[in-house]
Amino acid sequence: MLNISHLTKTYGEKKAVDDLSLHIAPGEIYGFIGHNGAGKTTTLKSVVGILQFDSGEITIAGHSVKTEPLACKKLLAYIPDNPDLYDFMTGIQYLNFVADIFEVPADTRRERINRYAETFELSGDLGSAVSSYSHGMKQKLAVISALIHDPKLILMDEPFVGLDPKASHILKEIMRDLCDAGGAIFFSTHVLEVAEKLCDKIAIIRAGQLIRSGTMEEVKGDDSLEDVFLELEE
Amino acid sequence: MLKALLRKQFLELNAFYFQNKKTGKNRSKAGTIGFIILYIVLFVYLAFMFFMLAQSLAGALIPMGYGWLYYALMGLVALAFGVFGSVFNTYAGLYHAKDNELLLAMPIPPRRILLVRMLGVYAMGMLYTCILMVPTIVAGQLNASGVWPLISQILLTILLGLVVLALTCFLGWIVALIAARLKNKSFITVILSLALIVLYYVIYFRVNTVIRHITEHAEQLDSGMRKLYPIYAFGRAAEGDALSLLAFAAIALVLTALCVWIMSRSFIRIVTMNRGEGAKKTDYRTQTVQKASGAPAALLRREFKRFTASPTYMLNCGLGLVLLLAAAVAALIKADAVRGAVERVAQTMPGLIPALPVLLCGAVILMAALNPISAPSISLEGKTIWILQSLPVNASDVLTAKLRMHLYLCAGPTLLCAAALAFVLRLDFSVAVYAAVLSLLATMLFGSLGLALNLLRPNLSWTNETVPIKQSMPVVVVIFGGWFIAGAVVGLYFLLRKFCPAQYYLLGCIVVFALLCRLLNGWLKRSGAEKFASL
Repeated sequence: MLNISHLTKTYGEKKAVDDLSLHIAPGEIYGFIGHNGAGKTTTLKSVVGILQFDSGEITIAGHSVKTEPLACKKLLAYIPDNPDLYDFMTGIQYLNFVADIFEVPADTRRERINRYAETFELSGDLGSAVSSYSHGMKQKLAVISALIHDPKLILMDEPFVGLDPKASHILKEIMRDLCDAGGAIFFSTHVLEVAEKLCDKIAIIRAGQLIRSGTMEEVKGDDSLEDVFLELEE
Repeated sequence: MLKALLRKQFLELNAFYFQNKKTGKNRSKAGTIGFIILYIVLFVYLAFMFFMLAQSLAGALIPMGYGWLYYALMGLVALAFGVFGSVFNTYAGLYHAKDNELLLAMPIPPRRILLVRMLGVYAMGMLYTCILMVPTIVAGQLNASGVWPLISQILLTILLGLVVLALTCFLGWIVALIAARLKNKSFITVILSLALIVLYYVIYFRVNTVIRHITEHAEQLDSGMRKLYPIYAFGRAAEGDALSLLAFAAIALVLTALCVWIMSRSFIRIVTMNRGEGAKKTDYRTQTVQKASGAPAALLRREFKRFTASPTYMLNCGLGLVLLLAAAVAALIKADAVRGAVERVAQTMPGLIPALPVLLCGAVILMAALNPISAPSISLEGKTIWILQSLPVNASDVLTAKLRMHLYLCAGPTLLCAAALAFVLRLDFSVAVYAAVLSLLATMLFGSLGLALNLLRPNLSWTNETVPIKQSMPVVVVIFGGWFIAGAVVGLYFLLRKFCPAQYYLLGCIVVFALLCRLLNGWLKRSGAEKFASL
């Protein structure tokens, strides 16, 4: 589903991502962990097409992010670490805007909006301006907007920050269901317990370089993910 | 504790001068000095404007023995200026301050927070009041000088600041209540602001008539206003009457004490009250936005939503639309007067009649330049730019939507104004068509130019939307560049008129403008789109 090959991205003199390669197959939840400034967000943004990278290749279902950005973006959804959404719209207007861009038919979008709004308990707030939302509500809206076009690949940057325990639980279930249906998820997190329980595979990045990746068993063996992570970081 | 709060409040006020809102960093020493000088110049300029008004009123009333009336009238104007100048700051600073909740969570008595906040409001009100009271005192002293009246006038200015404070707190409370309940806040703010602008110009243009009216009816006004004791006391006190000064001081202090008492009783409730739409649940199913539409329509709708949601955007970048429409309507209503004026001027300037189509274009372009709608549109994406960059839309489609909104908003009023003026000036049909086409092309040029400049100089890190709208290079360049273009169109015609009749000149301009539009649009489609994608 997602193939990252020798990705390199520099900011001035600093290499934010250095020759990073990863492959995410359909059905996989892939966790991405690393300390602050390790290059997680840069990698995710490069995959989404928000950042232009220096070298390497990224393909999504065989489409190159560089040469076929629109074909790639149609397949994916992105949830940033800080959901800055359009304050001048109501929640429902924002969802309709995203659905319009993805050309989701009216009946389908209505069904999905109703379903996810009920699931995340946001129905009563979708008619209100986004400017009046709390951080958690914005995060829920960002999640619903990411699911509205039934993406094949979801990229998430710290998706559980700001979500209440119930919403976090629901999101984890949705992630699992999406992957069971043949989709894939690549997400960054600092919560190692969540990564350990949820992910099929894990990648650890340090100073822009991938220092370990593979299935959960391959990465952590008999130790806890926290022990392995701390050991690798030293 | 009070000292720390005061220091914080004045740091907040000073930040305006010492910090760059765009970058959030401290200004350089030269930058700070330059900024302060700019504000002093603005203060002096405004004070000078009011001095002219004060001088004409003082010159007429003081020699007639109506000195108190002069001070009372100017005091009323100062009061109105102070109140309207600081009421919105009061609303933002007192009831909507970002750190209200932070301070309330600290072991500080709410009354102290309120007092410190009110001190900031008082300082702001005093600034506005002084812009009027300083020239009032100067003009008054020029006509009847005296040390005791001067001391009394200075004390009165300080006391007037307290009255301004009490009234702004009250009005700020009303604004807070309205803001919490209004549905179409943006439009109502725009309409109110436009009404104030119209009121200002009506007063500005009728000031001489008003002064003449006051001096002609000074006696009636004198007896009428004596009945309004606080105003009479203010006027008498300004002339040096100690008893009146004491009376006015008592009134101002009682008002302030009353204000502090009422506010301190309801401060916590007010600052934590319903902040508008947030607390009111609206069922989204009742909103008629379920129809599916394509990406271009969605992008265009998004641009219109952004424009209509922001009074600052509408007022600062769409004022020309109102002017164009007003000019069209005024020209049609006053058609005979306009024709008469043109004929009168033509008698002394025979070259005026053939130049009318070009002058018409110059006037319309001048007003169209006041609509730099596309110029801040890239910067306004701010931190939400990731949305467009992550969605499957071409950057060129995004730019096209921005340009389309500019054109859809500006084309109608521009065309209407050009057509109305052409009709009133009885231009030939073909020449009128040329003038209309040229005006439309100018609108298109300003739209493309604003967008291109904003792509080259974007500011996506703003925290207050007024920064990209009011303080950005693209907006300034479109407005002043537009005025320069309007001047160049007219000026060049007068240079070439011996060799080139107006209709051919307009045709030439149409070709040049169309070429410039094509060049800019070509750049936007290729390089501009790349630039947007890499922001």
